[in-house]
This record gives sequence, structure tokens and C-alpha cells, in this order.
Amino acid sequence: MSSTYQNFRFVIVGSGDPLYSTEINRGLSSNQQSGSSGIQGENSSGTKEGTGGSGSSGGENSQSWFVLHCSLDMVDNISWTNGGMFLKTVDKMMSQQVSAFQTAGSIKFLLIHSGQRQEDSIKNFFHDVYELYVKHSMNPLYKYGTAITSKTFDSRVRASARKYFL
Amino acid sequence: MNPSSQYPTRRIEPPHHNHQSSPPRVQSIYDRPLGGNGGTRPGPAVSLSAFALLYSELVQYHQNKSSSMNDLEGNLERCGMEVGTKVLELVSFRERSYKRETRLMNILHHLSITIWRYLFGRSADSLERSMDNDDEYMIYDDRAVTSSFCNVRSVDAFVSGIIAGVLNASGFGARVTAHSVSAGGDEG
Repeated sequence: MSSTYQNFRFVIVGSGDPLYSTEINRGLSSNQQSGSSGIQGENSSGTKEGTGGSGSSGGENSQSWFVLHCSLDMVDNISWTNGGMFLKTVDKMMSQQVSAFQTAGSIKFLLIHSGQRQEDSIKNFFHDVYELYVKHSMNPLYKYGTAITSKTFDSRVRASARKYFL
Repeated sequence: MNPSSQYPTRRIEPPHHNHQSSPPRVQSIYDRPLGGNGGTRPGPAVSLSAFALLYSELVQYHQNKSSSMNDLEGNLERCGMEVGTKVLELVSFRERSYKRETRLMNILHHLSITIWRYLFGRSADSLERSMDNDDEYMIYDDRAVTSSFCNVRSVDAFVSGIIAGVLNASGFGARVTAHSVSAGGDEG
């Protein structure tokens, strides 16, 4: 695995299934950027990538969902002792770290990233997504705790991720 | 009479396409500011009559749908819960402190002061702990907005829903009911 390969998976979780999920890949060349967004469908598409060119990314994809679920327990534990929203790095597993952010309404933002990242850029990314999330939830027709399907939200989150991580 | 002298004229011109410009940027809800900067500036206020009109329609709609008083209260409470969760997120965001409440007294305090002020323009009259039960608390509000034009108190179930929504979203399970106390005080 090249040292410039960075893989980020960002998930928004309520009390049940994930509300939103996206993946930002930074390939070997700076031009190559691929990403897929979706909510439930990503599990199936993630495991298929195992035979792709970057074999390590396939393994990491399915692994990252396990890491995410494990880290939810850690987030729950920490959230009662830490009074802030930004919970920093809650879990480390092999080469991947999980950073978490919990809003006032107990919506958790989880970011799985491999490699070192400045805490500040992660915190700013979470703040950006927090603002986007609050703006999205102001829609009176959006039921709290349901999936976020707005394409504009998706593109804004990815733009913000590109701004802070790439 | 010269028609152009009375009022300022405004010429409406078609947009220029002289140069290669980027397509007009669509203003979406994500562009508009959410307000905040400490939450000290009061936001635009809604008139009481507008709210009362809308709320009376909501109550009548649910009254037609439900068969009993309990049903009506349950429906109003469910409406309130949605409002409560979103109000909590908005008010917490506008404070810009990026902090959550993890203690019960703190969230109750936050509710009865900050969120009440955001919703009704004033903070709740008092927050008290019940003598009988350890886990029972009461928020007093003398002039509940939802029942200001109505004799029946059960319409305050909407406010109970808001409170329950805020507490449940913060991770504190709660059962909230509305009662009225005689001698001019109301309990929400």
C-alpha cells in the first residue's frame, strides 16, 4: 500500500441504521478521486471491490464497517463523560482510526481514516457537516432519525471532505 | 402629467450573455445562514395570532382524526416531539459552543431557560423537583402559548411533546405530561 493512499469513510448514525454514508478515496495520483455514496447499498458494493486494482482498498472497505460498529460502543461510553461534541479519536484498529462527533440530538458522525490526520482538520470537517446537518434537519418534512437522501447534502459533504482532507 | 415623475422607475433588463459566465448558482437552503453568533440576537418573531391560527387548525385536524381525549393528546405530543428534537439541534448549534448536556439538571435548565426563550420569547417561570418522587420534575409556565385561546388544557400536550422530544434526543428517557395548577399557575 502506497503511503499516499488515503481512504476515508464518513458515516452518520442515529439510533438505528446509518443515515448517511460516503467514501472518499485519494488514489496514487492527485487527479484520481472516486467516491460512492449511499446508505445500505454500500455493503454489497464494498465487498465487490476486493478484486479491483487496489486490493488493499477492498479489504479495508468491508473491514471499515466492522470497525465502525465496534466503535459505536466506545462512542456511547465516552459520550456520557465528555461534555463536548467533538469526541476525537475513539478507537484505533490496525491501521485505521475512528474519530467521532456527537450532536446535541445524539446523532453521531463517524469518520474512519487510515494514516495520520490533523485533529484540527477533522474537527473543522465535523463542524462543517454539523452545520449542513442542522440545515438539512430544518426541513419540516424530514423526520428525525431517517435516512438523508438529499443530493445537495451529499455533494456539500464531499466538497467539505475534499477541502479538509485532500 | 408626466407619469415618470411620480414613482422611481426601474428598468428590467434581460441578463447579459456577452461573456462566458458560469451557470447561475442556485440558492439552496445550505447557502443561507442559520443564524447564531452566540444566540444573543433574537430572531424574527412570529405573531401570536398567526401561531394561534395555525395551532388551532392543527388541533382541530387531530380532533377530527382521534376518537378520544387521550388520542388527541397522544397525537399532539407526537407532533411536539418532532419539533422538540429539531429545536434542540438548532438552539445548540446557534450557541456555537459545541457542547452537549450530559447531566439531567443541566439539560432541564437548558430547556427551561434557553429553549423556552427561543420558543416562547421568555424563560419558563420555574423548574422544580417534586417532593414525592425522586425522578419527577416540574416546569411551570404561567401563560402557555398553546392554550392562550383555549379553555381546555389538554392542548398543552404539544408542549409536553416538545419537552419529551428534547429530552429523548439528548439521551434522557422521559415521560412528560401537562397539568394545570389552580391559582393562575400552569404546569407544562
